[in-house]
Amino acid sequence: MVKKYPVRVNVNGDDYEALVDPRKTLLQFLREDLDLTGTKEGCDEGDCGACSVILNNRVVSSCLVLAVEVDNAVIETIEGVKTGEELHPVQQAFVDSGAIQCGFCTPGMVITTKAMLQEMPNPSTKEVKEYLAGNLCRCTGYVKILDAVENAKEKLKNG
Amino acid sequence: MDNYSVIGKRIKNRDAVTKVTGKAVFAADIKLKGMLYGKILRSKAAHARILSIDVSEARQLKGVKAVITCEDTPLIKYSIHPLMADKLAFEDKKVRYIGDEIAAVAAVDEATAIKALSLIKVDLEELEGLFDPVEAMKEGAPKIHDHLETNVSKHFKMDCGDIEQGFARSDFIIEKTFTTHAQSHSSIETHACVADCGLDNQVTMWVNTQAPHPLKHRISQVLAIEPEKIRVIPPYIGGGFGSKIDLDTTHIACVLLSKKTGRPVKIINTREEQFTATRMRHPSITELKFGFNHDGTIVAKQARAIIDNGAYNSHGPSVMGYHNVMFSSLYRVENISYEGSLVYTNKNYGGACRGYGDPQATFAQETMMDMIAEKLDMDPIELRLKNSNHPDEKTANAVEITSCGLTETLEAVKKASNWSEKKKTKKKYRGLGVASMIYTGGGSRGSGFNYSGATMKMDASGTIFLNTGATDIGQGSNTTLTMIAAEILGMEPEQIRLITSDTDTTLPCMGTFGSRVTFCAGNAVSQAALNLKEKIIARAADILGEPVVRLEIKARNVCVAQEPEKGIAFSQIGAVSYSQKQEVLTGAGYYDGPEIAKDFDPKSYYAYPGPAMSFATHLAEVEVDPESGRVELINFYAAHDSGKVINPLLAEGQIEGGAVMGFGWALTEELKFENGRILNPNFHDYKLFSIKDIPQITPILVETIDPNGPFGAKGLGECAMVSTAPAILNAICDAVGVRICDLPATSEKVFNHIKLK
Amino acid sequence: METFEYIKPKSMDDAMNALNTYENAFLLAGGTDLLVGMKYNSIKPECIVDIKEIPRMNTFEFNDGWRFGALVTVRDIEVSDRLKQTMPFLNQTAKALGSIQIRNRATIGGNLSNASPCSNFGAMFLAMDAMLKIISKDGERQIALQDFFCGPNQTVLKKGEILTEIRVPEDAGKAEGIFLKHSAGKSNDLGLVNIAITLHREPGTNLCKKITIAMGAVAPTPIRAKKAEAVLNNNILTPDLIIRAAKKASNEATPISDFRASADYRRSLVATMVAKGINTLIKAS
Repeated sequence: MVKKYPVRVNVNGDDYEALVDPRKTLLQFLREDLDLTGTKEGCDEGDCGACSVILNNRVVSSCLVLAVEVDNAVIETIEGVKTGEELHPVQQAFVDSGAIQCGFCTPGMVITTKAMLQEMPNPSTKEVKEYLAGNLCRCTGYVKILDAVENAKEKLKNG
Repeated sequence: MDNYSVIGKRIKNRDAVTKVTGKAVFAADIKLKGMLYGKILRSKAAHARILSIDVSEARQLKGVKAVITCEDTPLIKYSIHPLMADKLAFEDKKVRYIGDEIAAVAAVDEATAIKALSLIKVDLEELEGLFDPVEAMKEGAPKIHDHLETNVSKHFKMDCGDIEQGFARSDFIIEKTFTTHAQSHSSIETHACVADCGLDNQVTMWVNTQAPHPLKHRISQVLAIEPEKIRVIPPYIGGGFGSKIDLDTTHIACVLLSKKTGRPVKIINTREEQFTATRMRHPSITELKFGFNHDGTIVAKQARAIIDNGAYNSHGPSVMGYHNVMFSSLYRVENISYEGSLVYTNKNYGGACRGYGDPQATFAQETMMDMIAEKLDMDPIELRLKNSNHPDEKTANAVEITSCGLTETLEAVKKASNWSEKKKTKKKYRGLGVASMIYTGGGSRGSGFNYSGATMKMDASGTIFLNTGATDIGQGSNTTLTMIAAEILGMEPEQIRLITSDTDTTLPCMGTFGSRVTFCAGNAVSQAALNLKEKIIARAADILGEPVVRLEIKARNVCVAQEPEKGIAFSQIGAVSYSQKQEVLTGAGYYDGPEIAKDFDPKSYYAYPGPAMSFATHLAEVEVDPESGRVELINFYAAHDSGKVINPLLAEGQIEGGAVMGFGWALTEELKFENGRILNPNFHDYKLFSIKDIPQITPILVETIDPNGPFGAKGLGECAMVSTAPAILNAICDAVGVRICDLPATSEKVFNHIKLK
Repeated sequence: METFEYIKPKSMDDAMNALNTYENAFLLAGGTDLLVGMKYNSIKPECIVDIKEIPRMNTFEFNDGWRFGALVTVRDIEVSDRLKQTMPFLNQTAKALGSIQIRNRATIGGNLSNASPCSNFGAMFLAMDAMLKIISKDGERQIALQDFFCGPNQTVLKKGEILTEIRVPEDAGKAEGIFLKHSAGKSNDLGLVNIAITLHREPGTNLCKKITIAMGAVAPTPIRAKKAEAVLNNNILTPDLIIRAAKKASNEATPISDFRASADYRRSLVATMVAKGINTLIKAS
């Protein structure tokens, strides 16, 4: 039997305890063990951003983190973004701006945008492009994603 | 002005909330009880004879539940073109490219499946590999497919008018060769499939396919399973761009492994597999010869093309047909000659990829147009206007143009970009370039079919359902199709319940490709909605005792004209129909057009049976750094004639996404091969454009009304990238005076051209 | 991927023990290179030693020159206001590395230890004459970064050794500096050529008292362009001289041709970028 390691982790406000195979990535742990399949695998080597989650207040590629590493960590995934029965302003902005086509990059894109706006509430377009450069999207051409970020900035300012 | 309540409105994507919350279930997210994980063993040799395959050790590994090879299949070859089928699910005698499937494994987890692959012993005798189509065409070249005479899979010649006389009558002649390279579709979701197959031989598949109904039939054919035993259910699909049309060995393996084990099996491609073992855009070599006059009239044009097929046919034969059709139909030219060869090589094989041969043809033709403008010292936009297509014309290659806004797209980008002013005050290293295109706006019956079906019903509570075989892979057809139905039925699109794609619950639809869904499925939905509307009104007339002509639908009520207080709600109509008449009101719609002309040639696609043609003009403004060769995109304008636009918000999204896919093809994206091996099967070396790389993009919707489209609409999805690359390369030439005729224009290539100038 | 032991020591001593217990132990810091290597089976660890909980390794401070703990993340450097005021070229170096998701995890020690020929910090710290502190169970040793790399993904680190600190001499912090990267796209790409320059000038003039030029992705390791530096040191930085030095640097580069770029093109880029870097520094003041 493969030796497993205990992990206690808080995901989206809920505490989990699990025994994990050391080879398992955080992405696999979230998707397979916790059934949080909103976080997507696009490349599994840190190049596409689809698996972005917020780990201890920083956005990371969950495919490049081992599950054993997140013992005692606090994680936010796309499933934890909405607030109660309402969409989070970032989510609402993506919906309103037409920033979603196939939707496969969307969870990572939303998580990264949320992390950005937590760090800097009023980023310039250049800063937005800088921050989101690791999140690939093949459908939208990014134009409406930029619109969505502007829209989200406004919503958060006014909200 | 038309007076629609839904059509033409910027309505939000119907699936957006599901997607933005992470709730949308994609194929890879599906987990069934007892599910096994499958993996495929692929060839590491580009061309080799299979001497033996030994799976005994793999079968004995703990946790392995099944191992399959060609011996477990009926050895039925497949292809998009049934008469040119050349691919086996698992090859039996030879492997023909690095990635070719040899065996598959199902195990309790992925790690065990991967381990099992390493235990399969394959004895190969390596053969000489052919990687260059020109070499592969030479006499005496080794044969890639033993049953064929040569490595040329398909060859045809098409002549319209008199090419030699045309050249003789021309004031000038220019000849030039253009080459294009392999592009990866790179949908962010990779191919994934889950199959569940019981001992009763009933097959259920959850697949991210662009064409569920055809997939069902192809599975049925290659595995000799009756179609009525197969159900294909596409979950949410993470983009396709053509890569998810084909039947793929992952699908066949999933079904076979599930049959063998009696347990559900899931196979997900890794990103590396996605790059190395799924389709790509066909590389091409196109020699052009154009004859033209002082005034800019193109008198004659000739193309000799070699399309690099790769190891198998897939869509190659029709991609070459499209290469010809789109080349020959753009502009009014009387004398045309086209000769094409589709050539096998020991590389990844090409498939359908956004534009389907048109980007290759358009790159060549639209670069040539700028060379002609330069020769004549004529404005490139004026030259294109001079030769522009017009509505209600038939091209020399017998393509019917039912509606055409090409001229308007040229004028639109000229105005939006401030072309004339910018041309006069040209800045150093800055340049403007333009390119136009024609593409089908509604699939075609080139294969004999172009079908889409839809049904609508009103249930006992008055709820309206739309069932359509069309598949939303991200482009938004779920939204546009419900908009079409809602407009006709006088309601809001979100009030319609939608069921799509599932082969058990929807009428057949060819699938999402050929920019056909809005047009073909839209026509089917429109017809279904009109049928249902007629029945609803008839039933209401019956209940109210009013003549049908006095009735109209408003907000889910059938009202009597001029007497708004008199009316009946949908809920009542549904209830009465169900309980008193024992009837569920339904409407069906079916589209399979256009008529195929008598002189249609299925080889060359002369008299191409496309129901409507879409047009566009792209205009790029670039700045080139002469010291590094880096091309910076500054502005990009994309004017599209896609007929009546059903939903501008979604249409803009198609244009923007298509343009950016075109930017990548023009500048940074290239699958690089060394002896048949792809050197960059990952996103750090295969460079998609990121959000940081994009310029200001201005989409412009030039509306025409196509007589045959739903509300006058035509297709758009693929058109969005067709003329992007030539617009950019023409702009580079304007900026620094170098004419690059081989894509992509990497910074190194631009730098070298500048150095040699 | 075969399984492995996972150990997360709380102290340097525990880490040493772990490293010496296993034949094939690998250090895990940010993991952004290690995990990719493991997925491609180019790294097959018997044991992973996660050093992120060892104290004092994720801070940086000024005390007789700069001391950077090896576990400082690239993002920490990128956003540091203190560095922006003193050595903005370090922020620049950080910003040019990968995506935000990578920069949030990747550490500067990892960037050096992985020893990629195109390592951003490899080039920048080389230009800053950085010294490294390396600890093993036998004690510690200091070596110059100049002597650290020995080839692509190879360093002088011996079994059981950990790179713990990067030290930058005080005067490097007083220099002007720049980091330039040329890559295929704008985001997350490996540089086809990286150039890092630091420059000390006689105040108010273009007299170069000392210049350092380091180059990445043009040799098996990041290298210094010593001959180019010699052309410029103690001279007035005239346009002609800058071009001469840039050509020298280009000749000092020994790039390979691969599918990303040809050697000739990389050499041309070196000349262009060195000149551009120096000119940018001169113009900035």
